[in-house]
Parts: sequence; C-alpha cells; structure tokens
Amino acid sequence: MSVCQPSAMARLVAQTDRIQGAGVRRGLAHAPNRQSAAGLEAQFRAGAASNDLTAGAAIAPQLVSNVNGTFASQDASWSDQFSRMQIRDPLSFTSEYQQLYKNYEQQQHERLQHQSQLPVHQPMPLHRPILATQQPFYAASDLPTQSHEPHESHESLSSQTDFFAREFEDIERELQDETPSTPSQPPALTPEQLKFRQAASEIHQRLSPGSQTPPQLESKFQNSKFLGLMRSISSGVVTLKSGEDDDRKYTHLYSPTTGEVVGNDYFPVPDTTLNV
Amino acid sequence: MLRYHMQGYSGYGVQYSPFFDNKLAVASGSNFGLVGNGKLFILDIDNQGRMLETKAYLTQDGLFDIAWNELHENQVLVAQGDGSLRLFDILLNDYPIAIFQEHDKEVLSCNWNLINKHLFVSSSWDGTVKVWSPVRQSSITTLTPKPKNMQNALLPSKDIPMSNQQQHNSLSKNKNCIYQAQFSPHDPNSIMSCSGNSYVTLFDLRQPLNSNQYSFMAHSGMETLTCDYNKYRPHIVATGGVDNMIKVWDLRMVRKMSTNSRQPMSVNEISGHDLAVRKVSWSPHHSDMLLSTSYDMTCKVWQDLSVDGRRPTGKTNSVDPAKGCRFMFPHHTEFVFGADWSLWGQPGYIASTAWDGDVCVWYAFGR
Repeated sequence: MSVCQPSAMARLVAQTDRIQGAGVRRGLAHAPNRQSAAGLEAQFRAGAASNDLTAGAAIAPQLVSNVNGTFASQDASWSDQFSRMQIRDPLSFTSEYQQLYKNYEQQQHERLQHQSQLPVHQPMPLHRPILATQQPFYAASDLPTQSHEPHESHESLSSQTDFFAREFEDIERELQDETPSTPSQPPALTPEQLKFRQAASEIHQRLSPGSQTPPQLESKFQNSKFLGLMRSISSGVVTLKSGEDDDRKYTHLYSPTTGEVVGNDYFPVPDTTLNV
Repeated sequence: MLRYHMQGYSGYGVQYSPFFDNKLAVASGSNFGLVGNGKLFILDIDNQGRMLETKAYLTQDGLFDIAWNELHENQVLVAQGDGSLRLFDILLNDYPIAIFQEHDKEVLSCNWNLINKHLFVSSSWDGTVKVWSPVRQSSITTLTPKPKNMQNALLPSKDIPMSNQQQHNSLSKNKNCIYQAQFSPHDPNSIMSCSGNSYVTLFDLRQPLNSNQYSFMAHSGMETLTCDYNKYRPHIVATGGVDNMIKVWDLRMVRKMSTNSRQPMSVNEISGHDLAVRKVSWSPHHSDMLLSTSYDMTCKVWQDLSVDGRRPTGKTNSVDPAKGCRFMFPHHTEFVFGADWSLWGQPGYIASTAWDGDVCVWYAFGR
C-alpha cells in the first residue's frame, strides 16, 4: 500500500492495518504484495496434500516401527485409517449452516481485500504536499528488514516498534498542522442574529420578483440593493456584529466567513449635549 | 428635479423649514437604518438650483423622523433608534443641545404642535405616545392606546382576526408599535396615532387619562403605518397601511358596529400602490390633494374625489380611470419613506427621500 492516502487519519488507519497484516504474514515477510502472498498461499495449499502425504509417509513408518509392528500389517497404512476417521459431534452445527458460514467468511475476506485496495485509487488532495513527497512506508531507509534468523528477530522487532512510534508521531504532527489549514467554520449565530436572519428571509421571500410581482416593480426589485442585502442575510453570508466596547449592541453588518464589514462601518459618537 | 445623494445613508424623513424657503432637514440611517449610525443632514437649495449640504450631525443610532421647531428657526428635532429624541441647533456643531430619553425602544415619529408651539409629540415601538416640552427634560404626559379587546373585561379576550396566509405572517408582530403620532393642526389638544394593531387612536389631552381616547380599526387588521390630518377639513383624516390602501375617514360619520363599538366611515379608499403605503400627507395648499409614499418605490399625488372642494360627492377614487392619481414620481430606486410639501412659493413642490439615499425635490403639478 502506498502513502497516497486522502488524509493523515486514513493513512494512520491504513498503517495500523499494515502492522496487523505484517504480524499475520510474518512467515511471508518477503512477499512483495498481497497478490504474491495469495499465490504463495495457494501454492502452499495446493502442495499441502502431497506434502502431507509425504510427511505422513515419512512419519508413519517411524511411528509404526516405534510402537508396534502389528499395526502395519493390519491396515494398509496409518494415514489411510486416519483419513477415513470421522468425528461425529452431536453438538456441531448442521452442514447447511457450516456451508453458509463458510460463504460468509469468504465474502468478508473478499470485502476486506477490496477495501484495503480502495484508498490507492482515491485522488491525492493537493493540500497534502508533505505526504506526497514522503517516502513509501517500507521504503524508509531505517526500516529493518524482517528476517527468519532467530537471533535477529528480537532486535528487529524492537527497532520496528521504534519505527512505528516515529511514524505515528509524524502523523500526529501532520494532523495538528492540518487543523488550522482547514477552512474555518463561521461562529454560531446568537438568538438576535438568528431572528435578524429570519426577518430578512421573510422580507426577501415576500419581495422576491415572482409571478405576482407587478411588471413595473420587477426591474426595481432586481436592482434593489436592500433586497440584495436581505438575500445575503437570509443565506447567512452577512449578519449583525456587535461593537468592540459593548457586546450587547450590534453596530454594523459583517460577513462571518471573511470577517469583512459589509456596508457602513460604525463610528462611536459620545452621548453628550452642548452646554448652551 | 433637484437631487442630493447621501452617501452611505438611507433617508427616513424630510421636512422643509417653516422659516426658510430653501432649507431642508433630512433624517437618515446607515445600512438602511437596520444597524449603525444615523445622520442628520441640513440641505440648502442655492440660487443655481443645487442642493448643498450645509451641516451634518452624526448620531449613535439611526434617525427615523424629523421635525423643525416651530418657535426657533435653527432648531430641529430628530427621533432616534435608541429611544431618544435629540434637539439640534444647526448653527452649532457636532452635538445636540438637548436629549429627551424616556422611550424604551425606537422612536419612530416626532411632530411639533403647530398651534401650541411649546409642545411636541413622539411615538415609539414601545407602544407609547409622549408629549414633551423642549424646556423640560422629562415628558409632560405619556399616552398609551388601550387595546380594543380589553374594553370589556367580562368578554373573553378576542384578538384582531388574523390570517393563515404566509404574506400575513407579520401581522402578529409589531402590534404595539406606534408608527406615527401627530398633533392636529386645528386643535392643540388633539393627537392622532396609528399602530401595528391596525388601530388609529385619537387622544384629547384635556380629558382624564381613563377616557381620553377613541380608537377605530383602519386597515382591516393589518398595520396602519401612517396618518395625517387634513389641513382644511378638521374632521377629515387620511391613513395608509400594509394593505396598500389609502383611506380617507370622516370622523363625524360614526356608525355603530356592535354594542360597544363605533367606527367612523371611510369616505374614500384609494388602492393605487403596489406595496404598503409608508406616508400620507395632505397638501398645505389644497383641501383635496394628498401625497403618499410607498414601498413600491414611488411617490404619488392624489386628488380626493369624495369632495369637490365644497361638499361631499359621494364618489370614491375608483370611479376615475387613474384612481385619482395626478402625479407619480418614479425616480427613487428603493423604498420611499419620507416626503413633505413645500410651504413656499408656487404650490406643488415636494421633497422626498428614500432608502436609496437620494433626496429629491420635484414639482407635482407639472405636465
């Protein structure tokens, strides 16, 4: 699996899968990919019968010779007798249920395989240059190669754990870096702002040019700046903003997404009279 | 037509000075008056026919109405969104000379008494009408229109008939809001107000508080946004509302609606606007001409066809192909809020202001 994941979280999940997969496929560590692993497994399964037979043939004479020579004379072979042996368990599931469960397991296996391949085909987002230039997971220079050598396995396991820890730290850092770059959500509207928005929506709905609008008014309505403002307020593009010194008093209009003042700015005026 | 643009501000109210024929005061608010500062503009019309800003005052909140002091040529009063009224002297800079702070919510209108010129009145979103003197910091009296459904405590509370239609959703809101209050030009003790519950209330300041008012529903349960006394016929008033209608009422012609309800008759109904009518104003020169502004971005001048100048005709404006409209001013590009007839020179000059930030002076009787 490549590093081309849609997000750091998805990559984290995929790497977690990879770790589990690596554990399962410990015996097939050098398999280049899943397909080759499946091929090896098929090869293994295909050869199992003959290997078993040969193994059985190799082991059976030993047993026979070690235990009693009479067994060999009574039956053709121990393996034949073993293969013909049937265990009848009265508590076992019915054959129909077992068949259904087998089908279910097969479907699950296929689905997992399909899901693990899906992210590879997803487009890489443009705002993730760090991930795009990062080295592939297993191509990392400090990745320890897995080995069958017993004296190396413990050492490689610890270095692998360190590597995973570093990778997780990198991904967590990326997630933290990514948080501010995501588009900021506009702040929640206060009850007054909601009421204002609702009123604007009613006005806009009522005065929007429609079938009942007199023709002489239609062009005026279309060019009306007030109705344009009502449309912006009802769609949430513009709302009320309180003053810097008094949060309870709304003094001007602004766009919550861009933070820009819409219309006239507010100028505080002292509440005083002239002494005349 | 003369035009002045108030950059960044939307016009709410405009009034000609009662002392100078070339001076206008305009109340405005930034961001369409929704939020932010307000600004009082003093505009002069020079000999070349240009409108020039001679003074401007920035305020903490939007300004919704304006009234010149009828006793002092340099003083102008503004109704502010923070619940205060402020009196400015246009010969001084920066700050008002008096602040009248009692209303709990936006002050939507102010009007100077044309007869007893020591008084002015204000109305607010807080549901009260207050009478003030410029020499007192606190109000002289507070008037509260009584809800009609509270008149008979024995009967179950019955609200104004409401609608389930979406376009009438706003009916349940702003019920207490008093959009305008005005002194009568004929009686210094009479005040008329109109409110969001559709009622027009007439107050008599000489009566005790528990029996000083008379109310009637003007616009079928929909908000009544404006009202005005006819300058020549004391018993005639006009109202405008959210039902896009202008109604002319004869306060003498009262009919019995139910056991405890009497209502004056609407002698004329004018349905010439496409949206709500924001202001009506009777002409200072003609008893049968009135001006209206509307959310349909027009100003219109109407002739009241229910009267021929001397006696009632029994007609309404619906008999006229133009519905009595004598002039339409279509050059505003946003809601038109304020307008005022010029008292000076040839009758028919009008100043109007709208949310497009323009102050326009135009002639209504030209062809």
